[in-house]
Amino acid sequence: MITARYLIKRTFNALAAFVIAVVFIFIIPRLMPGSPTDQFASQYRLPAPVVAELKTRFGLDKPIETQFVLYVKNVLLTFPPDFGLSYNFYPATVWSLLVYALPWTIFLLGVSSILTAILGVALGMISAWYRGSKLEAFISSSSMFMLSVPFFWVAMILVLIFGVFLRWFPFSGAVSPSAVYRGFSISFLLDALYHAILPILTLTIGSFASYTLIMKDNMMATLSEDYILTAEAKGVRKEDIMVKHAARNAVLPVMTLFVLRVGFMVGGSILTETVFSYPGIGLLLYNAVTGLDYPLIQGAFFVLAFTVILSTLVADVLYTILDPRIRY
Amino acid sequence: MAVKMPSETTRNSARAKSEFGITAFAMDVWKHRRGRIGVVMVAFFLSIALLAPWLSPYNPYSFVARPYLQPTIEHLLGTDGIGRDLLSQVLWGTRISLLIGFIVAISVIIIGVSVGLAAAYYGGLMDELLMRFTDELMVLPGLPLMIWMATMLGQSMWNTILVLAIFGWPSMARMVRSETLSVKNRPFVDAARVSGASDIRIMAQIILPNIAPLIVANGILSIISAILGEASLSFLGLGDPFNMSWGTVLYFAQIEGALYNNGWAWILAPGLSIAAIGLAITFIGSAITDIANPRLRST
Amino acid sequence: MMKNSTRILSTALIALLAGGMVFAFVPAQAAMVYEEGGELKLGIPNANNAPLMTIKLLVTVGNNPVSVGTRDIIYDLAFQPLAVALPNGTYVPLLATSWTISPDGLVYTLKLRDAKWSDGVQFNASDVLFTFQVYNSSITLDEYAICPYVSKVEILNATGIRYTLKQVFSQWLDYLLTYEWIVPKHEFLTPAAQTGLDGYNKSSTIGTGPFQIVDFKPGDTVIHLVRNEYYWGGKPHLEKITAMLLNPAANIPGLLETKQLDIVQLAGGTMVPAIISQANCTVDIYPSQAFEGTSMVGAGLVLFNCLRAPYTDAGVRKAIALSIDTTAVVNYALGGYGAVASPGGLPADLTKWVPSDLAPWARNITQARLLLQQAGFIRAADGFYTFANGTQWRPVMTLRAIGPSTVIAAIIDQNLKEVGINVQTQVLASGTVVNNWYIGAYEFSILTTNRPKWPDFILNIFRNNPGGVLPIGVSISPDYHGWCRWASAEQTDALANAREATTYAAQYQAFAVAQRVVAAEVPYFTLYYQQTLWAHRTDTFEGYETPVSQGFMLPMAGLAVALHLPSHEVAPPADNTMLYVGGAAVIVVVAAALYFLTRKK
Repeated sequence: MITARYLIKRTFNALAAFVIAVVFIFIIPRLMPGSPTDQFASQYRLPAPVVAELKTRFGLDKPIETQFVLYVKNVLLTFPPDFGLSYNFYPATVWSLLVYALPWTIFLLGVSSILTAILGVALGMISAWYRGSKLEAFISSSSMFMLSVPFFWVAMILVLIFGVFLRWFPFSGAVSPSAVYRGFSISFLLDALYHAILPILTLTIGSFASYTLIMKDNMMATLSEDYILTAEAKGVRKEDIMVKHAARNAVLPVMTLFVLRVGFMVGGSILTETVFSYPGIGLLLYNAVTGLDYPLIQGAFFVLAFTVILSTLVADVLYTILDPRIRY
Repeated sequence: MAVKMPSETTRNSARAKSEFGITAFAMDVWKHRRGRIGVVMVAFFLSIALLAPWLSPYNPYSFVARPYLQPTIEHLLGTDGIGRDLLSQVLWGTRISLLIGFIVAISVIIIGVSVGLAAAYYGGLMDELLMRFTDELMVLPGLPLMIWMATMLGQSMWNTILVLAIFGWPSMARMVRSETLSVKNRPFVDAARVSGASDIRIMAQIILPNIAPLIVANGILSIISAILGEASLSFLGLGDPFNMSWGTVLYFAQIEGALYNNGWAWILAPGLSIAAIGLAITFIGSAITDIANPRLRST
Repeated sequence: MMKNSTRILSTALIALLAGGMVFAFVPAQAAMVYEEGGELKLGIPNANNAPLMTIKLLVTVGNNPVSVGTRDIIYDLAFQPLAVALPNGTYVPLLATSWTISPDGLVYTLKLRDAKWSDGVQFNASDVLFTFQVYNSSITLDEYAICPYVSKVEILNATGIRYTLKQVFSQWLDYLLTYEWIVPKHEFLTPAAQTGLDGYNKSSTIGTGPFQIVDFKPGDTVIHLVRNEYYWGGKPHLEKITAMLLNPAANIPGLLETKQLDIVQLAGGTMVPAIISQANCTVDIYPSQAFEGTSMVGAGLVLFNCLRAPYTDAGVRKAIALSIDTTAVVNYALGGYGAVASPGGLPADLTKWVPSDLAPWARNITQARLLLQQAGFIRAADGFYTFANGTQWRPVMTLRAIGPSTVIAAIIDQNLKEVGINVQTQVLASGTVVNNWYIGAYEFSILTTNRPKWPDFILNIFRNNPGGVLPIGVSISPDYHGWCRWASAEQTDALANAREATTYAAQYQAFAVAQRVVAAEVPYFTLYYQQTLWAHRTDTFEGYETPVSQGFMLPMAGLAVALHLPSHEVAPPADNTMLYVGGAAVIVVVAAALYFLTRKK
């Protein structure tokens, strides 16, 4: 049963976590050695006056307190958040880069999460249904195997088989390299889907295993509960027991798993997007970090932290709504 | 991987088992079919890691043949893009991958257990602070932060271990804390406190053995995360190219164009090794949880 | 005996047949022609996967997400510098057709080309002056600090301009000609407008190059170019070019095979075997990375910290250099697509400046060991060298994990260990490595970089500057010692002489001395200069074999002008009056002959 008190408490916690994250994001780049102007200086061999000019342009010459105040004002108090201009993508704003990249990642992660959940839950139910059989042993062992398979390796294998040998699917980018789309059109959607098949497959194959195993464990635990025995004794059909009684209860912890795995999925999206050069937030973040593009690093971490905290909050609330046994 | 909390009866039996010690536990793992397979596989990989200098036909960093060779008798996995033997790379890579995996897992266990125990036992402000810090680390996405730190620190084996350990302990700490919370108000703990035992003694000698199986199960899983995490960092180019792990071999496969030069063995071998050792460890972990929770046992 | 009418009819028929056979035996004068037009699909590797954010040319340095090379390829089609240099150092005049230097080396008079901008406006000296003012106004644009040398610029007439320098700088013209892309004065009227952010989202270019960008939006990865109808070199055959920025995972062999690309620059040699094995696809090698505007080339070097023992001893540095198998570096790190550098540090094919008596570099293990012995090292029982007092020598080589550096390091690591130098290789973060170079906290390092081909730049870049010749107006902070911390009076003198020389011969001599010093003392060791690879189809367009020396820029703009749709045969021209006359005569003669021969007597 959800109470207002619980809702307020959770929201407050989420906000606190978010604010701490924002401060964290500001501090970290300034702790590390090396500044972006060092990059320029080495790559283009710029003399000292030029380096000074660049510092002024990016506001790095102001004292750190001023920088922090400006940062908080621009990031938390304005919409859209102003992270400034990217160093490497000058003169594009960080926000415009994020706005372009985020939908691609959401598309990939959204579709693959749904597919993963469906696949994982289905396999988990099947293996619980046939518990003790060879099929169940096979599903369990393969799931355990898939737990340890790295995302990027799945990506490489899929590219090898479907991209290079069979040539069925493209394996780079979000759309064809020669295509120019201004706005949404059917050809754009088809092209985007065609290019998304291998990345989505990669994410799904790399993630379903833990759902399967958790679902199986929970199903088996639920199936040994007393009320299941009662239902069996009353003569309820096996399918009905599985789906209507056991699964409904077993699926709830899967949702908590979903929440815990958002960070894992973000990591997976970085690895997948890197292999496929898919222009999502993962690749953007990777290029920003290795290119020491501080404003973009800040912006990307901000968006990711926001997403993780928001989804945790939503999932927590949903979980308490759905599970009538829990009271706060 | 979540582990359901054991009910009262199984916890008692777990405690009973721990009184018989580690050896009984190990025997149970061996008797469990999956556990046995897992142990054998781990032993296999460990022996490869130890015997790598004698087993590998070439020095993995020397140029011994033409590049991009397909598997032949002299080069069972072929050669990479600059003419180095791939089998030697994979054999030597076993050492680095396993070493990093184990060291990180041990660090994660030590840090996570300490933080979780302290937070749960002392409660109050310490709990609040420690858990806020832990939550914060869990909220910020792990891999990006690791990439960042690795970029900053430079590429060496020890930097990779540091980075993985720093971001690996929060989930262990959380689990230990919730377990400790449920154990700390048990009668035997109160009895110990009343009898004047010090806090450390209570935590180490009373609480710890009771949560040991779960720590071991989670610790084993953290070995897998460590190996996978190291493989990911190395694949992104942040590992030490002069101490090649399986992930680094795959990184070179990607940038040296294995896909375009028919390097199927190059891509298959390191990835299968990662998956195999992970599977072995998962089997052992599954055996341990089965032993601790007989209700869920499936074989 | 035939009737008369039959006779006439059959005579006519036979005559026609004979006439027809005459026609048949005349060889058909077939011509090979090609149509104008066509759309070339150009692929450009885009290493950091970034879209092009602006086509405004001079929005300062180091800030376009597209790497310098990628951007240059596109700009090379639309904009031009005053001239461009071939790999051997000779010039191809572009917007400047000829130039003279006064005997005292201070006055440069340039004659400019009669050309039009792509919008039809006439190009003249005021555009060149304006461009100079733009570069002069922004410290980040005038990267090589040539503007402070100028005391005045005068427009002589529509096609003449004169620069007067404050001080002799012999390489000044080389930088001016090749480094400044000329922009139209009438597009952005003030220098500040050219360098500012206003108009950074403009959608088309106005330039003097053979093709112009149109229909551009910031963030595009597909760039459309159309031919410049006013191009001074003649209207290009191609009508359109579609340039695609290709992300690192792009399946280039597949794109070539499915004709989604006609020509593409390769970022490395790994895909070459796959491309060559496809039908109608091939790979051409060009001598150097040809970014015309700045004449940049890619190079790999080993830097020594000459102030740190034991690298204070030139013999030790030379020993390390002699231990490296540079051919293997080129073969394995560049896939063979590179050339070993001259020992003096310049590209080996830059014959304008490289003295012919500099012996090419060759790995020499015996000599290396001899030098180490002379420096006081002792070879221990395990084969590795130790100091004279018996302590192990474990030199540390640092590098950043950029480009082929890792592979280069692996090769050098193996080479050195083979000789007996027990090197430890460390891959550090980019910022750390650069910082260590600044503060001198390293032993020796690998550097991969892009640099202009000018000896003035290459030979000056790593030496110890205090006391050396500084560019006007650029002050170096006192604690900047030059990354190699190497000072040589002979080198300083030679480079000063080179700067102040007023004749090519004097310059050449001075630079030759400087290179010999580098070859002898090895403060840094240049491993290689990179070559450029262009993969293309052979059946969709023709003209690839046009030699680059034929006055075209290399390679992209030159190819863009030379390429055309495939030729095909056309039927002989309809206008063959002689043939008709001859054929008619034959018919008449044959008919007459037959008629008379078969007439009834």
